[in-house]
Amino acid sequence: MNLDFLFTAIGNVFNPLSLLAIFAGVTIGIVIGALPGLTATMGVALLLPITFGMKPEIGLPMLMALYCGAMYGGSISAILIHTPGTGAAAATCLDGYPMAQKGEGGKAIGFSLVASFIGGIFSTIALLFIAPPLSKVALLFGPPEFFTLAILGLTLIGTLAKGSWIKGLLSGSIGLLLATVGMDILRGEPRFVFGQVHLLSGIPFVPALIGLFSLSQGLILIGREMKKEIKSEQVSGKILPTLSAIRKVKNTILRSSIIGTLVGIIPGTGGDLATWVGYNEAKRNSKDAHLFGTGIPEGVVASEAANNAVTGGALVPLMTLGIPGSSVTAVLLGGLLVHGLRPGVTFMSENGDLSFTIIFSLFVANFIMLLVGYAFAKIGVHITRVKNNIIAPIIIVLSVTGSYAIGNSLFDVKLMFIFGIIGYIMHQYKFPLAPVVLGLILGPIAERGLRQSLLISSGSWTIFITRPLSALLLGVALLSLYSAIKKDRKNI
Amino acid sequence: MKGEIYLQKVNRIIAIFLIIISIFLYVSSPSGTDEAMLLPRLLMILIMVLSVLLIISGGEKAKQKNSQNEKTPEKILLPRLILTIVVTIIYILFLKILGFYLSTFVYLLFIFISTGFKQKWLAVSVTLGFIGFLYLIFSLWLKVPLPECVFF
Repeated sequence: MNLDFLFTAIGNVFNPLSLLAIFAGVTIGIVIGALPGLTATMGVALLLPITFGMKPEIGLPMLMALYCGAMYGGSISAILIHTPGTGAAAATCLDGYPMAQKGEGGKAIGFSLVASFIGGIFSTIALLFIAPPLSKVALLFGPPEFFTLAILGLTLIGTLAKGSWIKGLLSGSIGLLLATVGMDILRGEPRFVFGQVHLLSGIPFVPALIGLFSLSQGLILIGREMKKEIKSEQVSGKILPTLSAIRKVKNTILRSSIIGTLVGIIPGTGGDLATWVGYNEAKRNSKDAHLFGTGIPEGVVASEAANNAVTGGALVPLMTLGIPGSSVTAVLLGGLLVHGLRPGVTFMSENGDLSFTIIFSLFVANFIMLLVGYAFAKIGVHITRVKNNIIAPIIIVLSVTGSYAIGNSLFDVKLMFIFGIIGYIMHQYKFPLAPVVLGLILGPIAERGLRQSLLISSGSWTIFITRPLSALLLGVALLSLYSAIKKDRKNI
Repeated sequence: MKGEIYLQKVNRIIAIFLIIISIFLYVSSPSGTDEAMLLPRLLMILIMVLSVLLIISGGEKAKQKNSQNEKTPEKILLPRLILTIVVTIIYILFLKILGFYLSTFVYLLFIFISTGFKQKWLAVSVTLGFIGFLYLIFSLWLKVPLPECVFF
């Protein structure tokens, strides 16, 4: 680990503007997380245009802070109204809500906060130690490896994402095809522009991203029944657990933190998977397994430590290989590209100070989350009561504003709207969205790798299997596809 | 079960649509240099193959057995959704005519009231408050040049 980068990172993070940005990110994240129907991905996509005017050292940590805050925020509504604010808090409902019903709502939120904090810090430390050595391995990559890596990333995301693997791969393929719109990267010939000058430089992916994740979410909320007056449990009594209470659940917190970090590293997964794996493993290893579901702190910390531990883990493949570990980091990848940075095999070596700034700001974000989360605990119940017909049009207006702000072009807004409709249809009929975004982003990398490899090998496709690293990546992609197909057949 | 059958039907429609689009793009793609169309054509073939697999498999059967929290499909308020989509299109088209702030004011107020916001004064307050927030962030702080009204 280069200490110079670490000291630069500390200097970047510990200035008033950066701390304010991280504070704002955490606060917005907690609010978004607490509101059922909103997602961390949507929040990051909406905040992205606002960070354009900021330096990357301030804007990117703000986005990570939002991610952090949202992972915790989802537990507030999970505990108080039995509705997870985000998919990653789904397992928290099982023990969080029964605790609230017993009058221990404050205690449940307190345990959730502490577990989220510890999970987040653990995964950030893991990121700090895993990412730099992994980035050295990544320097061995050439064009064939870039191509097979892109294929691997898409295959993993397509086969591991929720729902059918066929739909996952279809989404990824559509994303890749959309990435070919515009001028051909080597020959400069226009492809699929249909006379539109604005498309010559390709589909602008930030408006596409905002449309797919934010506008579609606004439409989903507007099409839903109004929230009825939901009886919500009150938050009373002491919130933060005592040290001895934390010691009783320390093994569960540690196990879930490890699980969350590992899940985060695998592309295509995220908090939604981590929360269930963490909860199930805690139950399986507990002496009091029969008490899970009745309202015990162990159940709450198991899911919350896991989902927050994803935040650091998901940055590992993003910063070292250029493949996002989750849908949120897919959007973050877009944010990095807009700032002129290309995450991938050379990211950490070329942008060491920024990489360490992002990692260090994640540390600080977790501490700020502890403070802000504590303050929000008592008022969380009010956030959960905001109705869909208020949130949804606000999301739509923010989507319009954000997509216009990028290039001051109404074309971007219209494109965002089209992608919003596509995103809505995909969501309704259970086509995963993350592979589309990944396809859009990895498309140019995949195509450049493919075309350069074929030039090097004089048109021979065997180059992808004769180079050991490329063959390994291709092998893992095929293995992932094979297990998805096998699992599918087993379950029919 | 009913939801599963409906979803499989929709999967087939979507798959057929994707096949038609892929064939159309493949046939109408410029013959130009084969190199430039190499990846797009490979992808179109892949999409066709996956779409055929989707038609054959249905897409939902295997996951149904695994899903722990499968609920019946959510009811969609279609008239409200369609109204919102239409009004949003009009809003986007009028951005450069009425300007960002005026069109946003009208849009938000319309959506709030048409979706059941009973207290009109509160709807106006929330709209004005939110527009104030947008002005602070985008115009004052980020200095993003948002569309202005052509009339004044």
